[in-house]
Amino acid sequence: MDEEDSVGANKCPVCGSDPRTHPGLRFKINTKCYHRICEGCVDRHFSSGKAECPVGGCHVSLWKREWRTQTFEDLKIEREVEIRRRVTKILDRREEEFETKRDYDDFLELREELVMNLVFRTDVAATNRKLKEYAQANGIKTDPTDGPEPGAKAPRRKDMAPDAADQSGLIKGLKRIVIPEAKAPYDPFMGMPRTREYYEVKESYITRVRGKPAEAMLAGGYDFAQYMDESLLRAFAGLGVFIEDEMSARDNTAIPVPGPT
Amino acid sequence: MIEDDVYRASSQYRYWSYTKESLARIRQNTNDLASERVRAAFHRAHTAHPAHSSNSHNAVSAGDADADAMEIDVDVDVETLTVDEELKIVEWGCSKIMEMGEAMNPRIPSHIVATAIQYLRRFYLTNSPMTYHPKQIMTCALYLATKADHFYISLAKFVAELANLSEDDVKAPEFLLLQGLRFTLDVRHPMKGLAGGHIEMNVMADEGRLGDISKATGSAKRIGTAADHAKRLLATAAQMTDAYFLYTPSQIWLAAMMVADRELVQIYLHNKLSELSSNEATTSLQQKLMSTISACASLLESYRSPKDDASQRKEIKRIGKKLTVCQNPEKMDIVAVARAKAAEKRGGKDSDVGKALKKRKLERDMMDKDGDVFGPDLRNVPGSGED
Ligand SMILES: [Zn+2]
Ligand SMILES: [Zn+2]
Repeated sequence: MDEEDSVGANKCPVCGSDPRTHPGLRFKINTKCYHRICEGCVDRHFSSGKAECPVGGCHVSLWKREWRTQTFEDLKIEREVEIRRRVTKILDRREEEFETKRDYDDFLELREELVMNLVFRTDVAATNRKLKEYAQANGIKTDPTDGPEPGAKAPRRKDMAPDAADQSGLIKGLKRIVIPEAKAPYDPFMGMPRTREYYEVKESYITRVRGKPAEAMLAGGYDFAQYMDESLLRAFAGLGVFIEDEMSARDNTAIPVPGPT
Repeated sequence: MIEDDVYRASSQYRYWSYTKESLARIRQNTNDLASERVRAAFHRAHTAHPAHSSNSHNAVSAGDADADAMEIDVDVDVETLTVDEELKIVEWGCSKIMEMGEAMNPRIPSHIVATAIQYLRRFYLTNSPMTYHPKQIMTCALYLATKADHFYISLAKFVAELANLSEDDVKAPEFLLLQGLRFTLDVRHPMKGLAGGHIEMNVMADEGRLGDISKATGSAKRIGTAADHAKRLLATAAQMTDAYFLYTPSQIWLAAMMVADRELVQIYLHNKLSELSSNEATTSLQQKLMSTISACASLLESYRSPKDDASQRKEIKRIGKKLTVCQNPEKMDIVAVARAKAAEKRGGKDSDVGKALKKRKLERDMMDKDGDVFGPDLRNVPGSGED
């Protein structure tokens, strides 16, 4: 990066084109090595798939889609913003998820530390490893290009409780995961059984009704099974209800309202 | 059984099922109250025009009024209807409804007529014919039944089919009737159950599950004849007796079948119940069921149509005459009251606006307070479950 600045900030380091002589020349950067080359060079070098960064001495291999337009004038800022974006995307926790305010503050500090590690290139490998572990443990996809191998199980540390919110153990003080009890599907019958005990609508019954249908039954969409079910329900609903017994068991002194008052 | 709980959830079970004793007690109570009111009304009518008899007494002192009342009460004691006579009059109303339904064009289906009849019977559990004559109520009951059971006839057409009747005559008692019905319009009839049972009997006979009765012995014909007979009974005897109050629709249709063909019902029930499960519970259920159905059957059999019984006709005539004498003289003209109410609503609008608003608010508060407008939980219907 630094040599670019001294040679002439605006020249393409690959083909040497200068925006002063080529008006409308546009530059692209990538977020791996932060080299800045012109659009034409990107097209030339990356049209046929993955290739190495064409800037001299740089061997980072890239896809064409990894090149994008620069947002900030200062590439240092561009890079820091990019790192922050990546880290916060992985370490994405809200204050409500923590047991205490203190825990949340600790988390913010940890995140800042990791960001700064990457920005200032201290402990990069260790930091990246931590992030990767965390991402895998929590099922976060980091990079669509080299995400976890399909079918790879998130590594689970043995010393972690199964309901701990962060299985990698990076973030402390998270609330335990409480799995909400599954709600039963809505039942409009309020638990009333819908099976029948006195009868069963068998095919033979339906054939029987179909044999000599009444006029109304000839209408399109008429359901003989439904008719049979209704008739049989009417035939047996209350068969075993003995009103004499049940009503005298009920307090019948209140005249004239025997029902619930 | 699940189906039994389905029936227990119905308003027919919850509000309109009685034991013989409680039915008699309610009727006696209604009769007592109405008789008392009729006597009081006659007494008041008498004291209002005392012109010749006790003029001087009244002038002397108001304190004596009570003593007077006693005296006069004895003078004008009217003979009121007894419970049995009331019941006869109601039955007369029921048979009139049946005639109306048949005479109507288009003919009103029998299950709707049956609904109307049950409305009338339910209404006269808590109201006496001395207070409201059945002929005031019965047209309204029939019209209400056509509405409740989806057999649409316009009021104008309905009235045109009946002689000497205005739309108001049919409309006016509607709210009164609904009140008497405790706003429960659902009547569970045994007719539909009979259709289902008829098919099941046929299927069982075809499959050789009805013992001696099988296709070979002409089961279809035998069952068909019995079902036809039962159908007629359900349209008449079941309507004219207290069957709906005392038994469930399933028991009623089986009883009607039993009247028609006792052996058939016995074999059918025996085979059906033992197919369900064969433990002690079913045997006791079967015994109990047979005795209940037999009781219902003898109730149905006891019914005699007044049409083919001259002495009954005479009796009705006598009660009718008696009723014209003891009809509560103060009883308002339902039609006139309804008209007055409608007029009141149309008039005095300005002064009533505030009142109406207040009333609406009150109603809303009431609604909020009792969120139970749709009745109890299906599951927690009283009487369901273990008891
Ligand atoms: Zn270039
Ligand atoms: Zn590079």
